[in-house]
Amino acid sequence: MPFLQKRQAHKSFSTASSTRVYDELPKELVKDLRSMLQEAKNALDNNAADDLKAISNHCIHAATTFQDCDSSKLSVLVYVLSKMLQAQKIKPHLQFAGQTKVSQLFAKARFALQKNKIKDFRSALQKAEDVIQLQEANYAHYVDELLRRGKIKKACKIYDHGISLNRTAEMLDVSPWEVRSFSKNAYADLDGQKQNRQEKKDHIHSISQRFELAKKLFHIQ
Amino acid sequence: MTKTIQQQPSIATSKVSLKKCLVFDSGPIITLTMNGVLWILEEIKKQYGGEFIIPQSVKEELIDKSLSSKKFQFEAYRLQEQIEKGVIKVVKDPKTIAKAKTVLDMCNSLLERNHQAIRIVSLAEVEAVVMAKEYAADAVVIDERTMRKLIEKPSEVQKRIERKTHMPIHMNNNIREQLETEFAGIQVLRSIECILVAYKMKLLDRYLSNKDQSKQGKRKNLLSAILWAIKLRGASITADDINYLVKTQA
Repeated sequence: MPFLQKRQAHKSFSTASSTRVYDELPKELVKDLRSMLQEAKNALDNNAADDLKAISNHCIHAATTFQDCDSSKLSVLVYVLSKMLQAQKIKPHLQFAGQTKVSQLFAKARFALQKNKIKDFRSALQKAEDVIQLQEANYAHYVDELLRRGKIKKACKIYDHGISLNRTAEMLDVSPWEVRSFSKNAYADLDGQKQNRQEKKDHIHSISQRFELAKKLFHIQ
Repeated sequence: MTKTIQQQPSIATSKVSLKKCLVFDSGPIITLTMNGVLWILEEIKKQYGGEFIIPQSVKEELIDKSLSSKKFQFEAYRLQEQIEKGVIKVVKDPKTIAKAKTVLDMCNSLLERNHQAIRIVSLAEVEAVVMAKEYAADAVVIDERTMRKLIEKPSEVQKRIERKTHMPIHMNNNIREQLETEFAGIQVLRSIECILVAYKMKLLDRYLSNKDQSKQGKRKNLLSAILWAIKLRGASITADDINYLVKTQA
């Protein structure tokens, strides 16, 4: 079963789909996707799980700004691959039989992008997803859960990048409950930024102001 | 301002006047439900003396979609109970929806990268805010950081995306001015303020033993515990904020 977002048109609303399905990819997106596919292929060939994870996070930058289905899909796929390779290291009996195949499909996808053949590119990515899904039995039925968690994790990352919670849930076709339950405390207003004295003062002031408003509305001393 | 609207509880349709109301987005309701304190809404509503309302789109997101999945089905039932009891009222107003769609377009055209608009918010979030404006609500209760910043300080949304994506993001100043007009006068509260109100009303003392309820130190610990719980489940609050609130408000 395909795990990624289907196009969900909002009825009578101008910006129709939850993610963009470009008929012609913007140049910058093509450049990003090609670079990420190459890096992912290299990481896969070298069994570099950590590199795959980093590439998946990098895909999020493109997914945040372009909000296209292709970056989102690639991000989740690469994340799942990183997890599968990690699992293999810990449990050698797990066999990712399709590793070479996925690597070849990434190369194919990259080549299709170079030739501006969007349909072939998407077909290659879909086949990569299918190969991963086929590992379900080898990975003790872990893959489906990985794919589901992958979507939620990536939604949390996109939320961290500044897109709203419900919007990211829409993009990755997950529930806002799930994004909220997985998003960590790092997604606070300040996000670990260093503040100068004035910024700290302003921040404290806004917290106080908000509670003063609440006290006034609820008639509390 | 009193506005009469078509109210749509889960069972029947009736008309209700809204002299005083707070509009809730989905975020605070999720936060309160996931931390097992949704029940405080019924109590603080009595203190407030007005209505707590949610737009139809928020109800659809929170309940209708969740009822069809296993994972958050029970949360959806708990929330449905609050709606059935009348603690939270669902409002479906076609005029608000139409206005929300216009404002949504504006929000999602505010920021661009390489002349490509970045869609940053969804309809449900915008509808809650627009409803608060249309109904002259005392405030909109919203945890969601991006929408909150759009109301209070849109430049911070731009800065955040730039910082996180390492890419230049352009803000359309005409649209920013239009949004400032749209959002003028809207006050924002968060689920944290609801919890603080409940704390001040001593509603949360039920979690303490009888002898501990009079001990300020124990009450402070309880407040800290609850604030940390909601923080660790995704609420937008820092450790410093919690320390400040516990120190000054407990």
